[in-house]
Amino acid sequence: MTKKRREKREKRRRQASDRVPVPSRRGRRSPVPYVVGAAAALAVVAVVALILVSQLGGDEASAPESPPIWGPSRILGNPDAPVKIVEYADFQCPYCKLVEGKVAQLVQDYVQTGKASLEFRNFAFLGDESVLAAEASLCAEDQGKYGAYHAALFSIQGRENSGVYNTDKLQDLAKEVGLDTATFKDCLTNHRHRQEVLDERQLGRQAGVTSTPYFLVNQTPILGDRPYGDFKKVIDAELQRTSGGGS
Amino acid sequence: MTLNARHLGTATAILAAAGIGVSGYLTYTHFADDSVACAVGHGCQTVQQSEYAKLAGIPVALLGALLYVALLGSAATWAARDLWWSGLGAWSLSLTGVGYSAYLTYLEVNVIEAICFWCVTSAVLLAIALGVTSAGLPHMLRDMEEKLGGLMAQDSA
Repeated sequence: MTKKRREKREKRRRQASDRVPVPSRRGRRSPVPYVVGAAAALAVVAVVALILVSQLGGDEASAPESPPIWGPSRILGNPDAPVKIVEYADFQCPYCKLVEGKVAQLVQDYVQTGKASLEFRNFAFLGDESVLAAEASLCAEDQGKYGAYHAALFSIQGRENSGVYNTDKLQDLAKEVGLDTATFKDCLTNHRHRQEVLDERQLGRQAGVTSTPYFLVNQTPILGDRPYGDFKKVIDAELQRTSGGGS
Repeated sequence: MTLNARHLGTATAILAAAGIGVSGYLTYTHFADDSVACAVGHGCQTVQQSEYAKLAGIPVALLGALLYVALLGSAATWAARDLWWSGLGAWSLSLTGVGYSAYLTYLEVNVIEAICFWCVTSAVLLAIALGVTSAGLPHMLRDMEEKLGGLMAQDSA
């Protein structure tokens, strides 16, 4: 019984394989599906290749490590300079890291030439690690090594609130920069500058800061990591205005 | 009125020309280190300066401009000479553009967290171009069948 059934099945299979394939219209195999399939596949391959290249290049495209722009404190240049530039930033903000190159250029063009003063203010609004990093930077400033610590903080920047700026890592960084680690630890763990950081954030809000980086050139705001030409335009206008006003 | 290759090709060419305007402007601002005028929102500059604005060192805006130039060429040929392969080329280029624009829009929303008005405009232009060229696909396919069928005729005897 089962043998018979197997034979029948075998016969059916043989018949099926002997069948001549039915040609499409007018005895031709249509090329249309192949050509359309190739065009669509080409498009898909192009998109996938573009995405892969963009992901491979992602790391290379990230900002280079910031050179130490700042000195022992958060204020650079002549405090009586006609133009006062204030930068509000958060150590966790990627664009604050990116804008560092332009800040360095500003220092070279305007601060070192005595035309402007530059002040860094913390606007620690991206979470607890922003506040802790800002506190740590002020602990470093206490020891006169603000610039080196500021640059070191940006150099290890990672994803927001992912543990990059925890107490242990901030202390390791202090050691690398050459701070007195015992004094630094005491300052950081006892949150000696916490209130100052929070007050600064509040002052920023009162000044209209809602995002970072945020610059105030005298009273003119510049929002974001703008092209250097934008900074130059505003500062030059302020310089002209102040000199034209006879001050 | 039935839409033919001339209508669809012309519409695609107009969309491509608009795309050249958009991507050309973004390419100019990139090389001139100028700020991007953002008609809606404030994310244009953020997106333009993000690490995703370059692909292997080449500005994405420039790559977009090249894609639009190729689209304009194929759409214009399609409109003028009703060649199936130029229409299919326009469709394939639109599909590539839509696919990559979708990826960039995903990055804007989820990674960069900023929306670029010009990038969204470009994505919309490409999506419309894909719709227009897709509308011409049946005609292209019939044409292709007629022209290519003979080349691939199979002897079934």
